[in-house]
Amino acid sequence: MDSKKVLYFLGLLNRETSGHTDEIADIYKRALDENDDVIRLKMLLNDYTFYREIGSALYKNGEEMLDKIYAMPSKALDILPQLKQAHESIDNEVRVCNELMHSPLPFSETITVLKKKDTIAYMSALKMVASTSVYLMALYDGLDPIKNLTWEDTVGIQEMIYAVNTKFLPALCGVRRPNYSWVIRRKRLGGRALFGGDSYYLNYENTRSVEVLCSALHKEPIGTHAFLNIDAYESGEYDVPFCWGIGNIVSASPDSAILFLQNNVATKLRSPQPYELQRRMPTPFECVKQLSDGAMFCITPDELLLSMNQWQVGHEIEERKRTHNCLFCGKHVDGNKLVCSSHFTSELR
Amino acid sequence: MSNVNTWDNIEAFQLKECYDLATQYEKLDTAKDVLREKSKKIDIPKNYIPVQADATYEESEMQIVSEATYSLTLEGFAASESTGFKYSHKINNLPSSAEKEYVLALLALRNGTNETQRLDALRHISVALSYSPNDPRYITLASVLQDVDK
Repeated sequence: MDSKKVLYFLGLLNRETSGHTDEIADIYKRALDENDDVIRLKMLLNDYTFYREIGSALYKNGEEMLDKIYAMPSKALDILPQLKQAHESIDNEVRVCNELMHSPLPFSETITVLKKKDTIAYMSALKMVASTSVYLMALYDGLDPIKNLTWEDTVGIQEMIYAVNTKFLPALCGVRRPNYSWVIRRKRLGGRALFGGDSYYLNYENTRSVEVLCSALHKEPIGTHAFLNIDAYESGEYDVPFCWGIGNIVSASPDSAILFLQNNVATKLRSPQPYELQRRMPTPFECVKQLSDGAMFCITPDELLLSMNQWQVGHEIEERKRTHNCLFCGKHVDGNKLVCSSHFTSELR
Repeated sequence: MSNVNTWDNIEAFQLKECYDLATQYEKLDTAKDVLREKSKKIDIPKNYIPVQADATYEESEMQIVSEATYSLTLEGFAASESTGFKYSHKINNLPSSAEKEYVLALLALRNGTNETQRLDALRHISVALSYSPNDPRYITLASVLQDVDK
């Protein structure tokens, strides 16, 4: 039977009879327990967390309505509309907050009600968004855009919502994705006073053209926005894209980039040591990893090219020294000479 | 954010990219759903990158250095002081750096390999070494230039 009809009948019975008060009170309670509005309000108060002044006011009002209706069963039919209004207000706030939490746009509105069981998921998603935005900013524009950002795992969800929506996402929107992709190619060098052997050459090209150019290449990802041409690395092929990408080379992945905010991040690399130059240049990412000595890094394509050339040319120099070949033309040289004497004319001799 | 209603802007693209990457790396299924939903609400076609109206093309230092070095290779031994070097102006306009000094040393030697040019090159490579003392290329070129009169 409709619980409202039951409540009406109980009210009538209560007024027109005497005695059996406990039994009637018990039936009242059961009728209220089965009322849809009461059930809905109880569920909202139990399953949701209420934040800030508005949230607290909604919770308090709902709680008062429940207390009142159970305390005055004879007035239940008068109180029910107010109780319904209380859960509708909460429902409305839940809908608004839910929309905000699933909105892609950064927002500054206060979140007042959230489902308790979703809190962990929201916190995890917020941290991931913060970390990924740090990753993209470092990738696109280096460390400048992230220098004033901070992240604390120990704060509550409200602080996380505030940080992500008013700091991290606006900072990401303030950064501009590079318009051009970088491409590094291997070239053969030689000529007057240029060390013979291979070197790398950097230029920037239209991103769409690079995608088309490199689509058929056998590639391996370097992070999320750069690639290495495996075949060119293994065969030493010239003039084809050796590696290419957009933005910087970063040591972090999107889920770990938040660590950039708490650590020193290298933007420059050391030069390779003579013992390292005994072996050929490793892959570009390995090269950067090794030359950053295990530190986190955010390296521009320029810095990457510099290191690749130091290693590539340095290795060639070591090889030619070992085999007594001229560093410029490759011809055999005697003794400890590095280059043929014909390459220089000295009035001092 | 501008143009949020049309989503045809770089900010929206970057937000979508952020949510897509976050979804990819998130481990918690329920959090993944939240992130996926955020991304879905930005209606940008796959592989579409909005054009940035204020996009400009700027050459980086190493791009100019690459071009200059490769240009020297193409000239080979035929280069001479009398024929100007295409990239001289760009190289001279670079901010002071090790690579700039290295290329200036190579350009000094492009003009010839007699004592004057060799000393000029040595001066540049010394500056390069002051910026980057362990670069194997600078160390070796300095050594070659110093050993000529031995």
